[in-house]
Amino acid sequence: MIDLLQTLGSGVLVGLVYALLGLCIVIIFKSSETFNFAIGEFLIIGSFLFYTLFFNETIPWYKALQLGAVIFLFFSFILFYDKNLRLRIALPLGMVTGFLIFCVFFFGLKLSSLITSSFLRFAIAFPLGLLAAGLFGAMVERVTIKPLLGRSPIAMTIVTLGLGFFLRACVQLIWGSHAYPFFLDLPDITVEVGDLLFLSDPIWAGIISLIIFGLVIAFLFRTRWGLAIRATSEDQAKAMAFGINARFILLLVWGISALCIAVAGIMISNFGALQVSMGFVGLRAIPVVLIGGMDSIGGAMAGGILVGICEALAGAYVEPLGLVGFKAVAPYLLLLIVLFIRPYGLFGTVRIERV
Amino acid sequence: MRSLSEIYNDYFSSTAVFSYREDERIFRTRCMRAWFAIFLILVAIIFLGSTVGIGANEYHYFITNLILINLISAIGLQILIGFTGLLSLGHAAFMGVGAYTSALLVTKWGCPFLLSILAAGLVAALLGIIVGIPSLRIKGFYLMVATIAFQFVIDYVIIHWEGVTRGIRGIELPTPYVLGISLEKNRAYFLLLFLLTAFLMWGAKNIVRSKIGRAFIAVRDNDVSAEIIGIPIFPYKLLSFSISAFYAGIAGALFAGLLRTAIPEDYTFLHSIIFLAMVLVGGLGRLVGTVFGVIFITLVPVLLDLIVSYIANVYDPNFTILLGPLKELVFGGLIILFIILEPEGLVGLWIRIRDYFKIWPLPYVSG
Repeated sequence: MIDLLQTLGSGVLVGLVYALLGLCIVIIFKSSETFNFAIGEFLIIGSFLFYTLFFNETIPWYKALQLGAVIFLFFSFILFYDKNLRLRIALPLGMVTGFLIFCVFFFGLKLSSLITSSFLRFAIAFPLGLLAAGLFGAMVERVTIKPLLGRSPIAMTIVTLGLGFFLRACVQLIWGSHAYPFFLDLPDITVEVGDLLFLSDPIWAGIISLIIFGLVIAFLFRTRWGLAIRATSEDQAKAMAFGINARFILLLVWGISALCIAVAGIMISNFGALQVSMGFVGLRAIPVVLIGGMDSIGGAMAGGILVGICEALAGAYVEPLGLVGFKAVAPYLLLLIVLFIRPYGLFGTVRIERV
Repeated sequence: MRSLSEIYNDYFSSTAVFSYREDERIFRTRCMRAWFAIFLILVAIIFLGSTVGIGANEYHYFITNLILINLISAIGLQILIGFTGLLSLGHAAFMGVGAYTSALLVTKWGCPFLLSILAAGLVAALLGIIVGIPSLRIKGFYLMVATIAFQFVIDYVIIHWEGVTRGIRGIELPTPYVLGISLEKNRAYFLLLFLLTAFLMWGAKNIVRSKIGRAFIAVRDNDVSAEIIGIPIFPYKLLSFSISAFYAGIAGALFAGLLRTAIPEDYTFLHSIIFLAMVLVGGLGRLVGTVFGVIFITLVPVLLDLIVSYIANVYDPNFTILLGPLKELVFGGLIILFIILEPEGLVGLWIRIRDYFKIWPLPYVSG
């Protein structure tokens, strides 16, 4: 009994992180009918951005210079199509941002020498890293998704597959493919009740994921911008007719999605180490969203927790029977069962087709 | 008095048809037939040249064999995606099933190589029917993701069913023999592959231009209206899945025969994405497009290999460690660029070039 409770508890804690991953997929799917297969790569890049800020990791000048140049080019040529705006706003903006990015990557933020308290350091670096990840997501949307507006959603999905390869290669070229030690050193909140023991790291992961999940939901359902996002998800053409800038909404959604993925990435890295091959964790979002339903935010939460529990149970009770590594496929088996019973997920909208 | 252009056009390049029979021809103009004959003659000349030691060497044949095997597999995916409109990201799993079936038959029961290829195709087709069952109720992304689930499950079975598949160590195959001829050399293997590919391509073309293919296309364009006009969509979707898996299984068996080993790393999710990319870069709904897509995607890493090894030789030996990331970078970049810039795929480019040279260098006539 204690065993079962222990397993269920750790399953739920990991499941909360998965729920966050599912949320990122769901909001993108709702607003643009696209499945983001590059989620694993967003996860690694978000974690690496945070890593750079938190651990004072620097990279050689020739790599930092390239990153700065890419940012400069992006801000000065891609962000603005208007020629006047380009010269007056975009060029200086691009120069400043590019230079800042170069400085941060080359010199590091030196947070560790300035602030000794690791929790305070985390409190400063975490929002900064998330902001960087969100901006990165917005950048990617501008370059790859925006040119495809009006084309079939399948095309966008395939682009995200290509994007996955591309970004993974970029990470390998910039940071290499070895493992980086990752230790957040958050305050110890290990829970020990009787025979039950929950470690500090998974609890922090669950709590922070839950907070971010709540913040995103509050943003979506309690603010004007959230209303605009929901309207655009409902019907893009109608939303545009009501004066909502649907293109900007898409940018915003990708930014938020990249930000949430970064949170999940940081929390998952905190369990072990950070390396490129960790991107495969991102694929765990697939069973999460399909079990919950692709267009249901509550479904993402339910799916995440179900997948977390399923994984934990498989790890604790099936693997000892001699099925090594069964933990990794158990969510997919669950997914197949759910798909046979309820094709559009547990909470997804059933589609009615008209000819 | 008819002009030279008109006479040439009527005889060689006119696509005007006067009966359904003419419309269903594989090569619709004499020009195409002539080019096909020239292509066959060229292949024969190159093959004969290499038997006496001129021209292509074993490495070239190895690359060509890779292209042909990928082509067989990609044709299957093209039938599924391009003609039936069912997205699948589990194609490499079918190849893996084919490869392991063939490898087990050859090593455990001493089955002849050709027979094992056929068996591999059939086993994969059977599995394809099972994988296709969800397509009754779901489609689009949902189906795509369900096939990913099958991909991971099959991956898991291949890696962890140690008793049969020997896990990640893989199965080693003996040198394949066909009708008493050793296929040890890549050149001999090429001959078998070329004949098989031509046969399978012909088969795919026949499927596509017959009743079955027209039903597939109706399902692709709108499956609800296809059902209304009397096409039983579920059997046709299953048929499409099984044909696609049959091609993949055969390709897998041939791949295992080419490398003389069947290992799980060759049939992962990433390979499924690569096959999808081949079909998409080539162009959906055209079998010719697949040929271009396969050649393109297979040759890009080979060319990168050449460039990187050249740079490593001349400038800096450390450059070779960048090879892996560079391949992925170029591959991903190509997918993104192709989807954004050339929605039709390479076949769109090819049709433009072909139409330009239709009666070149004579002046254009209409009709």
